[in-house]
Amino acid sequence: MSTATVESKKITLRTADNHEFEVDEAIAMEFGTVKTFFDENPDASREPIPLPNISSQYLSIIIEYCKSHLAFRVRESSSSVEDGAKAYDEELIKSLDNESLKELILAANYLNIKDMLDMLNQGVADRIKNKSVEYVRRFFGIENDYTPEEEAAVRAQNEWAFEGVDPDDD
Amino acid sequence: MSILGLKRTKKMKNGVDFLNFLHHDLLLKIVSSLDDPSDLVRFSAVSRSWRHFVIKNGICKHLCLRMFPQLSRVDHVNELVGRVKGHAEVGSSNFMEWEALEREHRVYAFLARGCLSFSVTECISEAIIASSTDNYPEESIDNTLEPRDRVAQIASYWSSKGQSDPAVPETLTYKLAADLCVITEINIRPFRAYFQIGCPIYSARSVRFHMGHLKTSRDNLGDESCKDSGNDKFVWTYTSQEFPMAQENVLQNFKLPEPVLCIGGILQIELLGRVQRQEMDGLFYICVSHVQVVGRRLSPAFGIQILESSDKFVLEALSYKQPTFPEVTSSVSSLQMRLRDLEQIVNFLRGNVVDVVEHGYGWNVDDEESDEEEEVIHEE
Repeated sequence: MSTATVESKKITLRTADNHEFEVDEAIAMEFGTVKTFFDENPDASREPIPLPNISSQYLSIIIEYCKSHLAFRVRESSSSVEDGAKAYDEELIKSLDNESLKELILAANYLNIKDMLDMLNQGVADRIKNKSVEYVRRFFGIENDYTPEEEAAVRAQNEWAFEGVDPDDD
Repeated sequence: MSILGLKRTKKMKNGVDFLNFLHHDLLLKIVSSLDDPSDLVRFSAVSRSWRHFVIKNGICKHLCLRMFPQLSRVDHVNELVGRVKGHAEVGSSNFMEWEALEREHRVYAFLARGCLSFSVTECISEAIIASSTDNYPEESIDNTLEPRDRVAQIASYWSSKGQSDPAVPETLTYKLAADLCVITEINIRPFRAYFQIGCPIYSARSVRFHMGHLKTSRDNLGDESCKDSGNDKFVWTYTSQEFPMAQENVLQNFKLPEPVLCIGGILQIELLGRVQRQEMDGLFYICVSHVQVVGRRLSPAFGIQILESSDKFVLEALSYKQPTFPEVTSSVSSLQMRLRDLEQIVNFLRGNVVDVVEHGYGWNVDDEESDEEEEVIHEE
């Protein structure tokens, strides 16, 4: 194999669990952190980029997302294209359990992928709408640090908000 | 070697507070996309730090501002609810600031609740004034509160004065039943003069709505003799787009593109352009048979104080209980309707026969020779 530096259109990403993903440069540039890095270091060698916080499971989802949305964007903007993108997003969100959703948010945030992050955030918001306080605590893994009296006082101040909540299904 | 400067961070363990690992603005984005105030209140019951987060970032206030940009005119909020009495005070201490934020959190949360879920009702409490009236009081603006076209055989409608220029507009100004109302739609039925040849419909070409408050507080509202519609007496904080009006004597629905918060309880209908000439005098008139303003009243839970020196106001929470209103399906209770019937009949019996007949009122509503003015018609 030639050792001459060829303008490579591919970038390699290495996950926390040591998997390597080779992606088109265009896809990698969807990651804000990657793009910023190469903008600031245009001559950087294209060695595999370590992503110590991201496992292969989630990186592959992210790569698929970026690939699909890039393809949508390349096509001429029309309502059917928009519907297609929306349908893709909805399917993706539906397929994720709460744990995966949260991990993906952390990953998308880490890699600075704005569109995906916005979509995932909305997905979380939709999942916690009209849920009980205990459900929200479990979802985010929050410790309740209120004393029983404090919590009762908070609830009493806004009684109307604690009625009509969806029963917990987890 | 870490090329991107991305440091190896602790893998998130189950049960570790998501809030700590998340950027502040990430959680802010999630929470800000919730549009139900109940969700926001429940969030603040999750833990102390979450409550702190929701209050510090004014999440409830921002929700209200997003729904109703008219709220940008709020100077500050007062809470006058039961045991919790807190007036906003000017103070520079952190404690005062935090108290103010907590107060805003509670008030705006319930305001959002009210704007989304208090009952939808008719909101007009009384008619204030029309820009012009042809025959007062027979054709006064009060008639527009009466849903029927005819009361005890006598026509019930408001009529403007005649104009030779069809571009001359008119206004009808009403007082709403609460200082704060969320208005969703307005219904108007133009009047069809069934006693005139051809039964012309005196609609306007289009309508526009203004909402706002009295310039100075409270007084001089019921000055009926005031011929000037007194536009300088009101401050409009909202003006709608123009809606075309059909020349049909049906209750026409004008739905606002977004619900609007009417601050100050005054609503004005602007009737733009005349389309119907009266055959007898060749002048253009506008006549309206019925007006309904539909929305949610936020009183008695909320009140306002207009700050006269600026164009801002104080939002007051007076109760955190959802108000209950009697079911009102038409714009007047049956008692008011009976009262109007009585008034019309008394007028008639008092010997206003000449007046009544002059306007083509009368028992023979099919009488095609009735004219609006002047001629006395001989009844059979």
